Amino acid sequence: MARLLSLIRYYNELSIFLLFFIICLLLIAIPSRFKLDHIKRFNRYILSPVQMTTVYLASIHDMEEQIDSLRSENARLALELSKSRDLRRENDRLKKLLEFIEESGVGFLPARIVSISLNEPLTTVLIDKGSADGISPYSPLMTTEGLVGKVLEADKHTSLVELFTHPQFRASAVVPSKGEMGIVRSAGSTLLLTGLSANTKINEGDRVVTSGMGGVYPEGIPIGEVVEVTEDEIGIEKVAKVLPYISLSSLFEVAVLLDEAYLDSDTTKLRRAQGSLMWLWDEGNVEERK
Amino acid sequence: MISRKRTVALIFLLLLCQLVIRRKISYVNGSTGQVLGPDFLLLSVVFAGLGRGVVWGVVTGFFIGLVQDSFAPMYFGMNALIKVMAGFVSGRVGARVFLHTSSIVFFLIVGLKYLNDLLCFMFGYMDGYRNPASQLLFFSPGSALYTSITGLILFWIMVYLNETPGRRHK
Repeated sequence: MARLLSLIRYYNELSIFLLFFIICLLLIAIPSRFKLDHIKRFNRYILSPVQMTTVYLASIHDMEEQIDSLRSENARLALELSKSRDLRRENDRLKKLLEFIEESGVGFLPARIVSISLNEPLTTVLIDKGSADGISPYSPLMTTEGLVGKVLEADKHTSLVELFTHPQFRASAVVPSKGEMGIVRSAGSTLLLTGLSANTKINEGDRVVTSGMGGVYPEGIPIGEVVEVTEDEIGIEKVAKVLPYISLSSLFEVAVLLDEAYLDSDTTKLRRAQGSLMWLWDEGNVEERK
Repeated sequence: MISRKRTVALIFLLLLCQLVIRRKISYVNGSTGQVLGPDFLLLSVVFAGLGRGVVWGVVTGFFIGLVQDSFAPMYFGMNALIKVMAGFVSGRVGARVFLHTSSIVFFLIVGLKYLNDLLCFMFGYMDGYRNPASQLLFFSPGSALYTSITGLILFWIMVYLNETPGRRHK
């Protein structure tokens, strides 16, 4: 009996299969002139909302992917642009420094700052030129803007530089417009011009340059601009607060004045503490560099 | 045997997979337009046949095939015919074998997918669309493998959920 039921069920299933199989064959065999297109269209019409929804969902996913990809592309391009700007700025700076060195006609050596001290405020830096390049201790450093400092220690290929912010920084200075001299020393991020007489005529806005009297810095290197004149603690002399021309945050390259350059009187116009570099910062030259 | 509701849910789930995620997980040859991906439509027919028997397999295959035909440029009824055959074979296999072995599911799907492609390409070749030899040699094996692996994963999930797609012949 069970075998019979199984057989019936098998033939039942087989008959259903054969029925659908024949229907399919008929559908395939029906010539195209009978136009089954409306069945296709009906199926598509029924399915189109589902398809539209799924396509829409898929497109949202695609859009999210595109947005992600565009975001990363944007970040990459921004980085490229930033790099390109940095390179252009560096190029401009180097060009300006080289022009400055060339037109000076003296033994300047361009050097790059490779490391800064970890102390705050920034008082010393390391440059990529050393004794092998002709640098010795006390060699003055400057940029097209003005005085940077001097070399403290010269190793073979690097040198430690004392910046004008160093507590031990001292430079003999003069205010050319008034003919008054003093000593410039560090006061944090600014400088102080000390040793001025009580009846000094120095005013705000006066330019302060090296005097060449200290024996380290040649005459005429711009230091900064007077922003305030006050009396000292005792009241005997006056002190001028000087805002340096150099911004340490944008200091990347410097020009080092080599020793032999301004000791050799045959090839240069300079001699330590005797020659003057003031002409390098004449208005005409500064304008030309700009 | 899978319950009727779950079989219907499974078929809908697989249809949805075909519509939504198939393109995402398929390799598309840009120059020829060939798609190497899992055939969720065939899987829905196979699992309907395995889970509910021949009648379910055949009927599901017929309607899914007709829907497929509505979007195919070839003979109307061709996909329905192929899917009806797939449904029948799956139903018979499901009735004969107690399907707790992955290898049976794997080889069943590989075989049906290959048969599916063979018939499709033959009909397509008659219409001048594709060259069946290159399709069967280069694309069908990958597609069959992809479909069967997907089917296996589905099978394992169903076993994990205490469903048995297949029943012992009594």
